Amino acid sequence: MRKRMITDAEAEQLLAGATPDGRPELQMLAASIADVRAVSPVAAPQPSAALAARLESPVPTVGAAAEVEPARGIKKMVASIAGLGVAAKVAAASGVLALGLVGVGAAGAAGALPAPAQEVFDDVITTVLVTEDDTLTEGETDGTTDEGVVEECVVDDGTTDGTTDEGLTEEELEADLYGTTEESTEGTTDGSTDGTADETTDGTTDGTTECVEPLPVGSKEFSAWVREGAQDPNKVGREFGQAVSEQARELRGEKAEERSENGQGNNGNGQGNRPGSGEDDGEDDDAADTSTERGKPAGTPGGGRP
Amino acid sequence: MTDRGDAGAEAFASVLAAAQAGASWACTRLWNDHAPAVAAFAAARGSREPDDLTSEVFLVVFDRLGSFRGDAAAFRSFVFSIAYRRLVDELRMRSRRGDMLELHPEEDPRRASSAEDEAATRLGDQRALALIAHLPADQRDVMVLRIVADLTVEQVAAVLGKREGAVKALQRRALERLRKKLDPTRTPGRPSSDSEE
Repeated sequence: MRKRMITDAEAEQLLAGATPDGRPELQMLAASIADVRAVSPVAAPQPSAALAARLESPVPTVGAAAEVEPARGIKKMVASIAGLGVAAKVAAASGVLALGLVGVGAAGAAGALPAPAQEVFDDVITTVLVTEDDTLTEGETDGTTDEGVVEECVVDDGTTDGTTDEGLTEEELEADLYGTTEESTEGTTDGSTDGTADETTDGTTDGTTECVEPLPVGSKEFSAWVREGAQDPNKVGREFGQAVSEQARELRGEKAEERSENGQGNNGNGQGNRPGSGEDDGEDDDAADTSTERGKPAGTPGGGRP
Repeated sequence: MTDRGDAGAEAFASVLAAAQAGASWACTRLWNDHAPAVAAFAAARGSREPDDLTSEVFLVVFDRLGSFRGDAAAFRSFVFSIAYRRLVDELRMRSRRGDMLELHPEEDPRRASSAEDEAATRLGDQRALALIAHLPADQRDVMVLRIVADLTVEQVAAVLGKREGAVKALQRRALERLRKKLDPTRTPGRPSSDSEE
């Protein structure tokens, strides 16, 4: 008679030292395995000297393991950055800078920064606001801004020459442009959403968009511009980072000039690049030179701007 | 899981956490709970110095304790995985030096003072050790881990790095071999105490 094979279930019973049901022929095997189980030692052996010392004064291992993880991550990130080329490193740094500016600007506007940082942010915004409030002449800025900007933008090629030749027109245009800028900035720094500020900003933006890519003015526009650029895969990188840096520098220069000229009783004009002046991006070198001499924005054609 | 099982799981979790935090009593508890089985396993599988090997295993266990996550069953697999690797290292080293690799107590001329003899003494039953010692190495690994170390099929698979199906097949073949060995018609020389007659 052929013997039946041991199934998995029967094997489990045998390994536990029990005889499977209906398999009396396996009783001896089960008893032998039970003997092996029974003789297994129950007392721990004598630990070695090293282990005895370890048992006496164990070393905590949880904290050490937890601390290793972040270091490993940072090391990995540093290694990956180190593997990049010089251009890639610059691009990565520019992207981080741009994103950081966007993040800080948005958080500051929302009042979400930590208390000390929020105070600094508010001080900066307040300083800008006070400066531009002082230089604002409402009668000059309202109404004329849109016309001036639209006019400049519509006549993309020849307008610059015409306005440059006609001194009065240019002066008026300057006033209009700076008025627009200040009002836009005011609206931004105030945080107000009144119709005047919005309309002026819109008009300026629309007008300049027809001519060249809009340039940011004031904190709000600058933040929005950086934010848009940071989300644009075509812009993120070294060039955009440079553009951000240049524009930030120019804005700072404008503010400084405003402050200095305000002390001379000026009406707030006489600063550098303005968004409304982007229409001067036309390729007129004369106009550019003239504007540059007067500290006007016409000398900032597309080069150096995004 | 039963209440008793829950209590046991909680108790193990607290002991493990304390050991990971560096509590001496907890490390001693882990040693006392697992060292006997590790030493028995080492002896049954032919370690010359099962006690020393057990101490070495637990030094590694305590070094790696911080990275361990799991319950008591997982910890048992963790400990025996280290023990198995240490044992393989020892057997391999002895094999390179020309020492005997397999454990055959009856055939070993140095039997009186050999490590196998000490292992048999530890197990307390020469016959029981011989029963397992005659199996092929892979079947012996499975049987020792299942019987002496009291691991489940899943745990043995984890320790040996095999699939559960392979472990089940190995244990089936080992049991069939042992049954033939214990068959009275084929093993007339077996000890009388094993006989049913």
